[in-house]
Amino acid sequence: MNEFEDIEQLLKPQCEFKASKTLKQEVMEKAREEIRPQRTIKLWPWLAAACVIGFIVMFLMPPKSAVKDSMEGKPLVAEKVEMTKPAEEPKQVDKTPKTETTSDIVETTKQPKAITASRKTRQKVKEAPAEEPVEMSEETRMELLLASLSDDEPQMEEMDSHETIRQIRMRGERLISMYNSINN
Amino acid sequence: MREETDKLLKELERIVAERQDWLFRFAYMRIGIREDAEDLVQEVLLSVFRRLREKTGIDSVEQYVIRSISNACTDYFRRKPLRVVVLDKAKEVAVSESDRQIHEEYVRINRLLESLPKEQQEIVRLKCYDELTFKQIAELQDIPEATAKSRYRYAIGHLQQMIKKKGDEI
Repeated sequence: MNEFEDIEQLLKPQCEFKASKTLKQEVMEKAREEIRPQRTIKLWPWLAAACVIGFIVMFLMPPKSAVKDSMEGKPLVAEKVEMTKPAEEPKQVDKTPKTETTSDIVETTKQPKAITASRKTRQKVKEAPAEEPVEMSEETRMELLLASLSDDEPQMEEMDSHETIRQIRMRGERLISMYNSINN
Repeated sequence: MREETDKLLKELERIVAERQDWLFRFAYMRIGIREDAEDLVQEVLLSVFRRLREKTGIDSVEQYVIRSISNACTDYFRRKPLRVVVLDKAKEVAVSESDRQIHEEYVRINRLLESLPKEQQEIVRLKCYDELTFKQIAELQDIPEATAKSRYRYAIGHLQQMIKKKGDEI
């Protein structure tokens, strides 16, 4: 029995075991960190979402120039309409009476110039007092007509093809009517 | 809320003050490396603190601490099997001057117990070195108390014979 106790005694600790002094401090610090309240609403998802929205806005925004035009209120369609208006002008010329004097002829032959000119200048031309009819020979008349045609050539180049064809047709008609009147 | 946390911290402080040396000895006598043993002690104490915070109800803090450190040591050997030092080479392991005494003690006990089966080794350590009762040992090992007692008797008897043999040889 004594031997049994001796063995037990032999197996008991013979020295003191001491944990390091920092162990307690470390445990307490870690415990305090665990207690510290953490942020319940995480910020990073919101920050990421804001960045993504920023990029989307940057890529989908119209260019600066387009924004400027829209702010000034310049509809592009309205401009197109204004451009087509002058083309309608020659129709009024068609309504002129067939019995024309020489001055009228000169005026009408010069109308292609008036098409490109502003409305005011056209009105001035119309308001100008009609010249008195002067008797001219056939040769002079033909010369005047040819001169008018040659004067128009640079302008003809400027017109687009559709208008040119129409003008040529009108002039041809006038020439025929003049020829008929001379013959009569 | 503030009072509650202060109370918890005070409770932890008390447990640390009372049990840290015992826990360190328990871990060191199985591992033999101070740093690792202290890490395990820290883990165990923090797990106790978490349990106290969750109020999951530790019936016996004492029993919970013993079981935790025992499980932590088992896990340690599962995680780091390569760090287990062969007993013959244990003396060669670099130990600081202050730890020399406890390391010699570790070697001495392990030399005495090395001839025993592992289950008996653990019961002898728990009874003689860690000063647990047979009831506590039985609970910890999940065995009947009688089995714990008989294993202990066999172990001591075996050690007696071994020491006698060595005495006769000398």
